[in-house]
Amino acid sequence: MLGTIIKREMLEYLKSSKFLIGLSITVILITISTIINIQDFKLRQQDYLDAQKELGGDTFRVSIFRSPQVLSTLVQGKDRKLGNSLTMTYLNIPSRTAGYMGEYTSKHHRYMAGFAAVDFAFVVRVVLSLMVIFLAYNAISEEKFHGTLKLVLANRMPRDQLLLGKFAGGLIIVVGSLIISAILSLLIMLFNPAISLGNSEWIRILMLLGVSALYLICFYTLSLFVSVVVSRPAIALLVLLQIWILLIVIYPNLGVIMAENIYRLPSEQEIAQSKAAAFQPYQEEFKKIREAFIVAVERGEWVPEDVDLRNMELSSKKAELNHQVDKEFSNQLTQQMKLAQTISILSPAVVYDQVANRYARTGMNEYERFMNGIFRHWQKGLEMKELRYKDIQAWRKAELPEFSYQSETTANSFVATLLQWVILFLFSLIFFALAYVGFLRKDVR
Amino acid sequence: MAKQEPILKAEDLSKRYEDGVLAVDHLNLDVHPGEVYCLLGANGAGKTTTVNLFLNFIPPTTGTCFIKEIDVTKDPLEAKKYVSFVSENVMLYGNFTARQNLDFFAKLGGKLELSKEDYHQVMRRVSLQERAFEQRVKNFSKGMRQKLGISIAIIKDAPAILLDEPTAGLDPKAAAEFLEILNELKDEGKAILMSTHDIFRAKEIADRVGIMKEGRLVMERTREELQYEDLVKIYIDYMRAEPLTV
Amino acid sequence: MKTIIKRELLDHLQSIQFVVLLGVSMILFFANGMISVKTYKQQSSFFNQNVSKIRENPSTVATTLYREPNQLMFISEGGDKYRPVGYALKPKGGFSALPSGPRNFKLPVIPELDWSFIIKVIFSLYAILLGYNAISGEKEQGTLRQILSNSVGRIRLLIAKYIALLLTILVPLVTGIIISLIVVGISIPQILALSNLSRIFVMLLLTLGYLSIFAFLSLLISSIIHRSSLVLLMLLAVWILFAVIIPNISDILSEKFSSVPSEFQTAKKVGPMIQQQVWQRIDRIRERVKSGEIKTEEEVKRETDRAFDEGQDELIKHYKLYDDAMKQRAAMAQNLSRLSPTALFQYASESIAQTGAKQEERFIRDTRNYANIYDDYILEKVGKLVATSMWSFSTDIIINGKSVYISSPHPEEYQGDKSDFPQFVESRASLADSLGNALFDIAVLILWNIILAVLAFSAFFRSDVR
Repeated sequence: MLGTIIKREMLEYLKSSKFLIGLSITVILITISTIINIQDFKLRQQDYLDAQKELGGDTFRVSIFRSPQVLSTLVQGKDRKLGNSLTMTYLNIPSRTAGYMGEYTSKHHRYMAGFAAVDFAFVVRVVLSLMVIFLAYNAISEEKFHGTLKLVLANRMPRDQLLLGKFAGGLIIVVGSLIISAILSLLIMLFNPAISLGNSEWIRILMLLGVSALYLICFYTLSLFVSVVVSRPAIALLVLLQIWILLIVIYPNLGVIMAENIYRLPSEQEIAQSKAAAFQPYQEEFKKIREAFIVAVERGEWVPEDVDLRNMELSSKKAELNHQVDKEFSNQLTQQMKLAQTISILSPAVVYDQVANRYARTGMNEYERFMNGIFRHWQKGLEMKELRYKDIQAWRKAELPEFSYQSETTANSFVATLLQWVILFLFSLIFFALAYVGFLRKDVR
Repeated sequence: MAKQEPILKAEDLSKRYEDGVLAVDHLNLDVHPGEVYCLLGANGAGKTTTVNLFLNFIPPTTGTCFIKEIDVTKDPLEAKKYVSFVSENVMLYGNFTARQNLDFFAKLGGKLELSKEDYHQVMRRVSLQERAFEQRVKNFSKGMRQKLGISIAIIKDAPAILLDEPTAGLDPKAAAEFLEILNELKDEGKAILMSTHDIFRAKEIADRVGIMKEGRLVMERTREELQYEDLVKIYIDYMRAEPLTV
Repeated sequence: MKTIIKRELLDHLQSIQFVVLLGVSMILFFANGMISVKTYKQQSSFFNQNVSKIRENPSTVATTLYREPNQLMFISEGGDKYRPVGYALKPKGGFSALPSGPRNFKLPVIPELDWSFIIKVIFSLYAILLGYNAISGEKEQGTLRQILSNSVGRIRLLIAKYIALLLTILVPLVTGIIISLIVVGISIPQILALSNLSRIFVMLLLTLGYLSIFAFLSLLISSIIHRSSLVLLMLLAVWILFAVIIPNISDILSEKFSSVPSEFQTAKKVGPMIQQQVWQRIDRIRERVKSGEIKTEEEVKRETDRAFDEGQDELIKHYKLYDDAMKQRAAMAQNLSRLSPTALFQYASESIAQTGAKQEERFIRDTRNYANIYDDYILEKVGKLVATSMWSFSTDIIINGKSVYISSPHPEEYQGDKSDFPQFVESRASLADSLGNALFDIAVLILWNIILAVLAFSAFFRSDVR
């Protein structure tokens, strides 16, 4: 019996023109965006490889190029917007990556400021969620309008089974379209030699698919609920659309705007002041050492070793203290971002975005890890420099290890996003429960 | 006619809506196998409410509906096994063909193993045009849809059939054809309860006629009794009468 | 006609959509006002601080030209917050962009909550939500036959419906705009100057023209399709295409159709190029010294300075090529997005508010003009014009048996009185210029209106009234 309902429901969807139109738009967008995003990834990957070969560094300056994330082909996140290179010396620990030509963001991004990224996550978040609404807005109301609801319920068919059947039928279609889009994306990726996916990437893709499905189910259950409560299909669509635009366009943006206005960030002056204050205890000594250093240089003499060492120690101390202030500031930026996320936690789109970025390693979390790696690398460089004064033999043999940093493990990514899964799941559950209760009490006349 | 147990039975049935309107007022009626019972009445007399009560679409305020002696309120699903329903002006699933609609409802009615030929046979029986079998219902006329509606009832093959204004909006020829089929079903021993305001059709087909007014069954006549009385006259008299004081 | 408009208006004004739109509009326009005031004040103080710093310490080595905050940015911000706050200018026209204004880079990139956003997204959507059942709804209820059974022409009926729809939208729009203007005007009264008000008026006309497209679209599809829910579905599909898909997809499409080397690849060429350009020239000087063509130390210095200067030109050209290619891609993305009326409206509103890419171009033009004035000033004060090198070199050349230390030249700071230092003022387009910039966009918007109006009327004329 349930099977009959499910089958009919699926057929109904498959036959509808809205499904066909939605699916074709999805397929076209997915194809175009994946191809272009792969092309973009290849370009950045090539840059990274070239940079690995050429940037290197010398005893003074170390340049590092951030490697692009392979899953940015599916979820761009911030991967290409943030700059990708930085140069550090013992005098300076950069607080942000730079675009190659000196600005903090890549130039590309500056010119293209008005446009949003189009990728798999965008298609799911915007296009598929809308398709789900279009599919399900009249799931119940249409049947009532056409009188078939009475006919169906005149049979030995419990209401809850009917709703379950409709839910399951629609679910298969919704998840099916998602899987079609994903397979298409993955096929394009697999046929591209530049893309190689490891085991952990596959697991991440599966997790991404899972959360995408859950996200769409949220909208599906919501639509079902509205369709139960609102009896005129056009009105149901009207209501759903207003909810959609609120959840996807207005509310997330308001969250950001509110966070920007509520959470105060220190000004550049304040940062400079705290930097100066932090270095204050050493300032006097540093001045003296600098003078001695400069005197020696100007006389054309060798700088005395103790002056040289102390100069380096103090300079690097300054760099480290500055870094601490920068880090504090960076934490405040993170706090502001978190506040924006908390404010808009009721928007499935925001929650979904967070999870997708985390899984694709294109979010802020990955970037922070990279920057932490940079600091550790800087410390190692400093140790090496100090070694020169302690044990010159060892220093001659020593070599600065290659830069590396620890990405978040897949398991940790999953654990970190559990809350988001629960939120999305709760949304679905609540909407489904409401639809369920509403339908059981619904007047079918 | 051998007196058998009634298949459809209403006992002291009342329905008062939330807005206070008493749609059905202590109604008692029964329909036996092989009998067509017509509920006559003006709009708002409570005919459709009665049908809805039988299908448990709404709970009764007092009283009970029985289908094959099963209390509809207590075990609606079991009761619905034994009843088919033809509603007024049903649109069906527009994107599906006639056969697909039939197939779907047959399966809901518990008939899982029917062949394409079985469906065609039923549709032929209700004289739906052959070429419409595989056409989308969207483009069907009212008469065609109603034929498909009755074939859904036929294919379920339940002992009771409830019809809610089935001939509303049909042209005379289509209505006549429709009643022809009902007659056949009656001969097969189905208990048929039909609500209508079409007094002429009721007279033609009914074994018993009940006239409803303001929720009450104000008069009941058998076919035999009607041979001596003019139903039309009775009906109009009752409709004219001031609120009854029985 | 009046009767119909009145009934339509009453109908719309009682609908949920209208009430929601009124509420949303009031909230958004209020927020728009509050945020704009705050941003404007922040930007102004930033701008004034920096400008007065330059005024106090003018320099002949390098100066910075800041963009003046735009008073009308609350109408259409045009992505300015992601654009440089100004340009660093060095002698001989060397200039480079400063970073964009202070903004938490960890936050997601969101569109600015300006008038054009509220109108292009929210109001266009509600134009559809209010207008979708203009015809189909009446058909469903059978009231269309009732109306047309009177001596009311179809054209007049449609015109009445169109006017009523626009008037309905105008109510929340004007309410919102007034709220926004009050909020802004209280804090920054100079915004209500006549020149700004006339631009706001033009913006209002532009908005009507834009929303009228969606009104006609609603009437058109409502006449063609009978079922209201299907009409709504179709309209929404079109809206999504216009407001979301075309504007977003045009960026990656332009990427497909244009090839710009990556920033890294561009920068990578610098090393070899500078070798080629500068060192070859220096080698030639060495040869000329050997051959005795160049005899004195001064001559060597002059020649090497020239070599450094000329060598850099090639590199600057190289970067400019990249910049131009990038700009071309951006322009292409813009042009592709012009398929959508939403994008047309956006660009036209930027022109009116003097923001966006056009205004940045204008700023850069101003910078170039100022660069000449700046150079003249340096020449007058210092006596010579030396470009600051992004790349510095030093070497030795042996002349007459003596080693001469050669290094890339640096500009000199003039130590005397610099009170006559030239002031930089960013120019603003006149209203006529702004309209000229927006001419294409406005023309296409009008074309959309005409086409959709013709289609709507002919569709309604032919539709059967059942």
